[in-house]
Amino acid sequence: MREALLFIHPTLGVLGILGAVWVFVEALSVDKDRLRRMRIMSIVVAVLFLLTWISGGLWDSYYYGADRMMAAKGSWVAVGDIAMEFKEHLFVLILLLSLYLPVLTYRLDLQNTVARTPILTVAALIVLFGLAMEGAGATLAGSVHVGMETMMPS
Amino acid sequence: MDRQIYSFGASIVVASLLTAVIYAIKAVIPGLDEAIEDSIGHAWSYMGVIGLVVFFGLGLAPVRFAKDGRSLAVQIAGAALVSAGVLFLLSAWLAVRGN
Repeated sequence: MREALLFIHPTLGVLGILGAVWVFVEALSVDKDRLRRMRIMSIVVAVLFLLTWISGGLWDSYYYGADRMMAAKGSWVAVGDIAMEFKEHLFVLILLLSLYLPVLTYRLDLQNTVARTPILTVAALIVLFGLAMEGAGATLAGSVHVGMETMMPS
Repeated sequence: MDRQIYSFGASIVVASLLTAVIYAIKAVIPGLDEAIEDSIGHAWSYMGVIGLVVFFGLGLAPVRFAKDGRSLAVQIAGAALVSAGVLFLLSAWLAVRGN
């Protein structure tokens, strides 16, 4: 279960980022077919980030403690702590932005395009923050790796 | 029909800034984060729940901060980027301080 949650949550996050890219591209020039695809994909993005929140949160709650102890043995412990604290709190913004995306896409139509600029902005923010989360996750894994190397020098 | 575009947009602005403010309060009061975690649960859950309550609470209310779609986008981007910057700086400060 530990490894499953460890790998599932960044995978779902990456899929959510790709979905947000999809919504962004569809919103660049709206027609009937693009609108239909954008609406479906905005729902998919929201569901993916809800699942990312739950799976990442469960891993954080139940399994991160052991990794934190490992990271504490190495010289990257402060870097790991920055990454983890940042991830725990930044994710709230991504979750809310992803839930806002379907609100926007279902109120956009071919006659009323007031939601188009917010859709582009929200999708771009999800991609930007999502990539920051993936980078922070990789940094966190690096801090654990440095801790392990300190305990078991090659 | 546009009402929810603006009300949920306003709720995103408020929830983003509130997340940064709550984190700042936890950062400047030593032991508060641990006390909250001991009483109501881990940060990933209670911060998310607070965000969701604000998002749906304000989103369903007749709230509007922006005059058009462009200014709404600027408000959302500004609040989200400022909040993300504050979160990063506070995380770095806490790690350097040794919390």
